[in-house]
Amino acid sequence: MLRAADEALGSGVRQATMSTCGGSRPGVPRCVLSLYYVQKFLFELNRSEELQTSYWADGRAVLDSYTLTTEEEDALIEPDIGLLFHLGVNGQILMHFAALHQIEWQDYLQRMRDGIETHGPVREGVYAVTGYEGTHDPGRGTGISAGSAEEGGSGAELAGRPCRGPGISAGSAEE
Amino acid sequence: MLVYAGVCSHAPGITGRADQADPMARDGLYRAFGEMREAIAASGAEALIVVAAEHFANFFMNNMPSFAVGMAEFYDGPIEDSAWLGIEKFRAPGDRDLSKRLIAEVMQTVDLAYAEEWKFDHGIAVPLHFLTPDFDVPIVPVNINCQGPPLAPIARSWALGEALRRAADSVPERIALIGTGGISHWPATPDSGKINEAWDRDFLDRWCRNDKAALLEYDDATVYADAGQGGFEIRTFVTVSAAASSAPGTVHFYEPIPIFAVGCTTASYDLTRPPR
Repeated sequence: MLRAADEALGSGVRQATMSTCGGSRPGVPRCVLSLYYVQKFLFELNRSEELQTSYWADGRAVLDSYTLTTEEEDALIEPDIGLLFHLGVNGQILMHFAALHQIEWQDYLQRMRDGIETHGPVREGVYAVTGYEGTHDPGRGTGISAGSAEEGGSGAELAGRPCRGPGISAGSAEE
Repeated sequence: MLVYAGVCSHAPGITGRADQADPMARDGLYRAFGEMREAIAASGAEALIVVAAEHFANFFMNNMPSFAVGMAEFYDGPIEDSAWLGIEKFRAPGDRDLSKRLIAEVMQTVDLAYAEEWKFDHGIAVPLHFLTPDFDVPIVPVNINCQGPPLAPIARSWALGEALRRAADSVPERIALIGTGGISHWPATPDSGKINEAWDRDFLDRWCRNDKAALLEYDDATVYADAGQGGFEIRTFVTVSAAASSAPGTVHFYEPIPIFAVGCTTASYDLTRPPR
């Protein structure tokens, strides 16, 4: 069954590990949680056109070889982007799964927000360090702005500003 | 011999969502990429090392290397859907012999994995789309795990950069080196588009000064809090700083472009000037 979670970042990132999950195989218990295998399936799906073909033909059959809970399997078949994000799937993996399903970018972002709203904070994985409140608030947090293009001005105006001194570069500032 | 060292952004929206961006900001970034391409060409570079932070295209938590270097004759990409990324499928040239010599030298001080098969994702495909559009320069991909914690400490990325510099200087070929990644960003999450501009500017100030102590002050807990999980990718920038060996840096372009989900950046070090 589920082993104790590891402290991956030293500040609360948890990675669940599995030992005896059995997918839907007869006589083998289902996992309680198997984020690793959800992500592994998506990792393999994202990089294999052959697996994508099999997934479109019979998704349930493909998923049978992975150790997944019923909840996870249903989310991967639906697809339920919001639930998958809540379960802890990394967005760098999930966004390609969304694209495979022809889910437009803004819709993809909204589905994740809806998932948090419906299911609660991210359960596992890298995002569980601080969690997302489920609301898109680019301005939250001191000193953090939405960084809109309108606020930023042109690149030419901004070039060199991060470097100290009156010049464009750190080097020229010392001249 | 290392003849060029710079950094740039690689966000997939730069090409995939170009039509949704403010035209002035987008065009400014594209011009900056063009200038970077010209600078690399002017350096006479015969090969391009790309230090990237790939996103589960090749490496996964079943066997995740902290550092990996490509050692293949070619690399296919992008792994993403071409229409989604806005980049057609391509085959980029590699140089297996050059990779092997570079790897052997880096291994003198830094442990790494090598890969004779590697599919480029947007982390490399987007920069190459602008910097070597004709695929006429061999690529040596280098990956730093910035996605699946636990991650190698940032100080190890500095050590990798020092080793890459020593390796580049040990071969007769003229070598260009770029690091690609985000500064603060929350990519592919509900907070995509959030950018901590003040944090970015402070980081780029440290990067331009090539201040080793200041660059190595970062730890993942504070980076995550202030700059999101995308901030882990500063490792690629820090590696280039180490390779530049105290040379002074210049930010050629910086602008937060939310639809690209990152403060878009191009910057380089002046290797012709003596270290400060």
